[in-house]
Amino acid sequence: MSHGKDADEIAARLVALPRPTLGAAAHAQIHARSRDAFLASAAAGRARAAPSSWVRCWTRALEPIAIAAIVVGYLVWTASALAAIDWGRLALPSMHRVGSMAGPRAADGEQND
Amino acid sequence: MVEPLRRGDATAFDEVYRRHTPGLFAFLVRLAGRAAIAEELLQETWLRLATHASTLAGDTNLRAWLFTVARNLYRSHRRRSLLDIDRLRFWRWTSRDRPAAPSPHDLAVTSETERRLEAALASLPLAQREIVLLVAVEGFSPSRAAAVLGLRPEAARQRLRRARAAIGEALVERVRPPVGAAQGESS
Repeated sequence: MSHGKDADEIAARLVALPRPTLGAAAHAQIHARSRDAFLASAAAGRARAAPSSWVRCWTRALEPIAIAAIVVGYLVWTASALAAIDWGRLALPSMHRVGSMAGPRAADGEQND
Repeated sequence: MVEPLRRGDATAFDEVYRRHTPGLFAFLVRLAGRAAIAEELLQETWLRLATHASTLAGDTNLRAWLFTVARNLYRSHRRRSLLDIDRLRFWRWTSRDRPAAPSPHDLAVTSETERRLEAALASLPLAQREIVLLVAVEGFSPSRAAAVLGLRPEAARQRLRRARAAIGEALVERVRPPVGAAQGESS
């Protein structure tokens, strides 16, 4: 018989070997224990994943209220700040500055001549 | 099947347990050689799945995962046992000379061929026994078995070839009568 045939025969025999079987009592006991551990672990995982009541309250109610209050406050402050600016006085000094810069140059020109 | 397990679905756990327990138990019995140890390790394997199910990756091959855990647990158990045996030898008290009682599985394996094959399998070094059990008995592909054993696929194939050859030789030796015995009979 060839080496390959031997290997095939051994493989076929190994597959056909009867499987050792677990007793019914041990089967049930191992299943029950591991099932309990699985359920306990899943429940603990769900508890870890579930948000606390404070987090739920914050995300559902307080957070939108806080954001709205901050936005409104910022808009009110910006509006009041803009209203407080005297736009007429802000425009005039720039005009004066243009005139004062032209003055000395003209004076210099006059001196050079 | 991994996704329901991750969600904590008990029905999925029952189904996985029902599907994989026979193979895992057979694998562990043939690795450990004793049903009591195999039961203990089987329990530990399922407890590992129970506590780690939520952390499994979505693409996990559950069967390979379970066999990897079972194999690693057996390796750890074996290391501990070897340490214990060393301690027992130190105190000159060892049960090595006592004949081991046949396990229920030994008694169930009635056919002579099966008995010889089981004996050949048990006589293999652990590294070879693992791969033969995974590929030839449990039907894993050599590459999947390599992943379970933490080997490169080519190394696993080579180990498998050696193991099959060793089983073949062991079977031939068991069939052939010892040369000395034959001469003794003729004289």
